[in-house]
Amino acid sequence: MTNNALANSAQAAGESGQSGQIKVVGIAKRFGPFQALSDVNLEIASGEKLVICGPSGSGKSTLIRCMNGIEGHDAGTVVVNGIPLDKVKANRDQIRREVGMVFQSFNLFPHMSVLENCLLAPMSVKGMSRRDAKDVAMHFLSRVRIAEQALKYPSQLSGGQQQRVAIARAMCMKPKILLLDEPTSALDPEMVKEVLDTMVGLAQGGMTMVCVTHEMGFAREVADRVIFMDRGSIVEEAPPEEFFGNPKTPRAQDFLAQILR
Amino acid sequence: MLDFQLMSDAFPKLMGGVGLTGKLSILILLLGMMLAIPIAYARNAQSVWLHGPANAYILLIRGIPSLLQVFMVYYGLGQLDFVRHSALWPILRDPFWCVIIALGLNSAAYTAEIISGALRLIAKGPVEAAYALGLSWFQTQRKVTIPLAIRAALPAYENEIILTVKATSLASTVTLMDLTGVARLEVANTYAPYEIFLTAGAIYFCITTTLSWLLRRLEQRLSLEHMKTLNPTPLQQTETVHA
Repeated sequence: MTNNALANSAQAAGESGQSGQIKVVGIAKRFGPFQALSDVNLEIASGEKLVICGPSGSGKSTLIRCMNGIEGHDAGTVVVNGIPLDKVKANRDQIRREVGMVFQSFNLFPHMSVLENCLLAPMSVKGMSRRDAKDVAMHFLSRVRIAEQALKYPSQLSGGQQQRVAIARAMCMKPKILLLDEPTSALDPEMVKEVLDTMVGLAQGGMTMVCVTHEMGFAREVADRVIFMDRGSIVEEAPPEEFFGNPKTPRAQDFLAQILR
Repeated sequence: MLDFQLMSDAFPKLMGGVGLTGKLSILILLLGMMLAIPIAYARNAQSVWLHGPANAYILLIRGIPSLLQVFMVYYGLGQLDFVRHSALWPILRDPFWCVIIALGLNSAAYTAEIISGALRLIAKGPVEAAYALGLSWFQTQRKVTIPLAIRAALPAYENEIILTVKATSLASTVTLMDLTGVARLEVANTYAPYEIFLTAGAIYFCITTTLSWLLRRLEQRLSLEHMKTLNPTPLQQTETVHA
């Protein structure tokens, strides 16, 4: 299994429609007294690989969660593939079909086997037949090198395996955009690499990827652009070499000094 | 000294009441469950207009003895003119349905408490994942939340089932010939309360322990822990090859 094969499948998924862009204009989000996001503006081009980093509580997870409406925003607009993410249920549903998400804590369905995890959405949301959905599921499960575990339950797998299943589950909906919210933060160190390799493979396709991560190696290898957030705002944005090599703001310098230690 | 002859003579007669005890239990639990699910969702709702009434209902039912609730439905409703003249009167005058209504409403409160607790226990993550995959609220409840809630609720619900089976003995106070009703009749005929009630008690005990054992097995089968020990046969390699 090579990254190339994974890239091809991601390519196919990403290019089923042309667009995969996200436009975030002036969004704000508050949790009680805590201002999680304030006036964030961001444009992500179709096919772009964006890495978001920043200290905890900086709003990076909240921002990514606003991109598929898992978290609602209080002000501003989010437009995904030309569809406004607003109160209209049909718009939100359409966006969620086109945007996949991978979570820090995997969030697999614990009462379903690996295969059933991958079948649920294609069958319930897209109305695919079990047979077709299974073909797609086995395709992506073998792309993340876990097909032989298809009948196991999540609790029988390691963290790295669970996260790879979660990636396959998201890919089964053939999203144009994949959001990854700290996908390797909950993993034991020895499992980080297998998940990162999977992500690098996906990135070689044409799919838009937005990834919250502190994995600099991944950012350097894959990202077109890195944005650094602090206290609910985007503080700095630059190509990865420039950001990691020569951060401009003191806050980014402090942050990088800490994660590099 | 116990009169075993008397006990074995009474046994088949008492068993004749078990059918009604079973029928009452099943119908009460069904009615209770049907009402409990919406009450449980209401209890967990943000809106005070939903959780207020649900909480009040649970508080009220739990605060009044079930026997009194049976009496209120059986004797009380007949006092009201509009009830006597309503189309439902043929049902409400029948002690069988009165017991089912009274104890069903009662069971609904306890079951709602169990289900709402289980719903609150469900981890947020899998539910979020379902939404992110595009499932609707209803699909998410059906495929993710409720299957997980059932697993969380089973140990407590087992208790509710046992309590309901025993609570059906209250039916004997409104003329029904359930297990306890038959036992009381036999005691009146034989003047041997000790033997008869002991036999009836033994029958209840057998029913409840059997139920308990069956439910434990179901619980184990469904448990997420159990899934760790499953050993599925690997899928055939041919299925994984697909361009």
